[in-house]
Amino acid sequence: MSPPWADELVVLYQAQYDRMVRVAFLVCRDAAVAEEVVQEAFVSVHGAWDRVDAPAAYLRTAVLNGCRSWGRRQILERDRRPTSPSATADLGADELWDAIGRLNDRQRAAVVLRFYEDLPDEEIAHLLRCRPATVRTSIHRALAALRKEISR
Amino acid sequence: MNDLDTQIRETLARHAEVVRTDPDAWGAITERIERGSQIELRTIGAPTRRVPLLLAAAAVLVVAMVGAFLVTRDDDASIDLGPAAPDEVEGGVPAWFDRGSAAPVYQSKQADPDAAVARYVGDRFGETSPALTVAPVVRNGAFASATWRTNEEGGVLIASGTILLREDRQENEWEVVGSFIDQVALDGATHDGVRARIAGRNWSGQTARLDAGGGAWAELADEFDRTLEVGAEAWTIRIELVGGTTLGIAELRLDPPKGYPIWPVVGYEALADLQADADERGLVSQPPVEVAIELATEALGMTVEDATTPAGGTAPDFETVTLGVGDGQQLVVQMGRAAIEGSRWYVIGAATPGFGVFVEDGVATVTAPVSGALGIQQRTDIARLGSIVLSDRAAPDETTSVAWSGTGIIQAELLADDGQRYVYVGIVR
Repeated sequence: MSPPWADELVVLYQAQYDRMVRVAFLVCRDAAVAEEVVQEAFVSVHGAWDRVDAPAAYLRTAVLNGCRSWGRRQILERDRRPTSPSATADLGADELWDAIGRLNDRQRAAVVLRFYEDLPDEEIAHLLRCRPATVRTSIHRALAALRKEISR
Repeated sequence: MNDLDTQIRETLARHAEVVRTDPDAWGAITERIERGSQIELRTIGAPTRRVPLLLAAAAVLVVAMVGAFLVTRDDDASIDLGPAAPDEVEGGVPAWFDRGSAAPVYQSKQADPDAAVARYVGDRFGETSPALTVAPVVRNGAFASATWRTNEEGGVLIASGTILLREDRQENEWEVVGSFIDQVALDGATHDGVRARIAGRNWSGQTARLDAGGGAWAELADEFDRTLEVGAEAWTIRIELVGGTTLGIAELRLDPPKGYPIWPVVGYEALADLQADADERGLVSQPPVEVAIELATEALGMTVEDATTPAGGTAPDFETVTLGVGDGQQLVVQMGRAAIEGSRWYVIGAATPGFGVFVEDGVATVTAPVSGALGIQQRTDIARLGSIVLSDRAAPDETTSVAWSGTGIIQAELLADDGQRYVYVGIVR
């Protein structure tokens, strides 16, 4: 017998899964890791279902947390690894995409949430666990870095 | 909207669009959930039939590669379940373990997951282990797992467990990121930069021992909670079930905190002095709102009038408490939950909304919402303020920066011209 909320979790999955995988991919730039992160995020949502008022928001937070967790591990291993290959490498050379990949984790996440998810600063700040002013600073610096890179 | 904004939007959209998701992702999610609970979930689409075929194919590979001491398991055979788990105790892979981010405990140098498991098992169990059986590897994208069991003569189960692997595509190898015993529950494992701690229960009926480093082993009680002084180095928690030879192994690696959590040791070790019920790690078991109030009153000298938290919690293992501190001012305190015990918390940082310090590339830049007198200080710990690094005026339309080379707690205060007090406390790494 399915619990009463199971259908709601299915609806959340159908509405959000693909979108969240794409967000996770844009942040961590590894399609396999993105799927893993999002699947684990759904497990988190399931575990917290009874105490969560806004499952979609909770899911997005869990996805960003998962990306951050993966990103921390990448920092530890960055010295011994080349840049992770992109699942979209077949798109060919893409200077701006490469430059976004070279942003630091917080800047890249802020850029994705602003320009792909179209979220306001306050919501981005909530997701990245920082203040809106920090979001604005991160995006400002990210845009400056991108502008500099693509004008070379 | 300028050209660069448009280019970024188009670039992100273009790359996101070509990402293809797993058509059986719902199946993978429900499998993960059901591993942790017995709740039935609705199936979406046709159930996959690929797994048994893959299992069969993989079984052949395992037999061929791992030699005589590994025997593939007949999944259809009746299996002795072995020692029964106590009520409300879960062994095997802990719910808190994240195989996506866990550091590897074993780098196999093998490009094939079956070969990686064979090599790991051979290395850890040795060839003298009695009746060790390893099931075929089950692969899911960049992740894989294999189960094992050790039997007495006659097939009676001694112990069983799971080995988790992750593909390292750059190194073209499969690495073991964790290994767990079904008859040993790991309630949690933490590394605070000084100490590693592991707590759990063993109901296997076999002797369990913990690798204490330097070739020393510590025998574990049936209920154990061990802390090891490991310094700032990564530490591999390794627990073996032994009975003349290795009967089971649990293994995971803990890295010291590098980024987040950012305030578990320096700040709270001192704050622990203020806490009657803080444990030896400086974590407190009070509800987050009480911790926040104590931080505001004891460490920052504020008067708290009210406290609110978001309904349903802020996020997994994360909580925000907003304190009313008089004159319409607020202090937002961010906290994280220690992994080992869900009811214990540490402070990440605190700030008056709109005011803060952004530290990057050796420069601390202040965001001031109003004009006033600004001071930035280092905090030796939560109880003691250190030297003044900057004393200046700040204004919303000006950038106030100061070179910041140190790490640790940074505290900034802005005494606004209208008398309002703004505070920021955070960590610089």
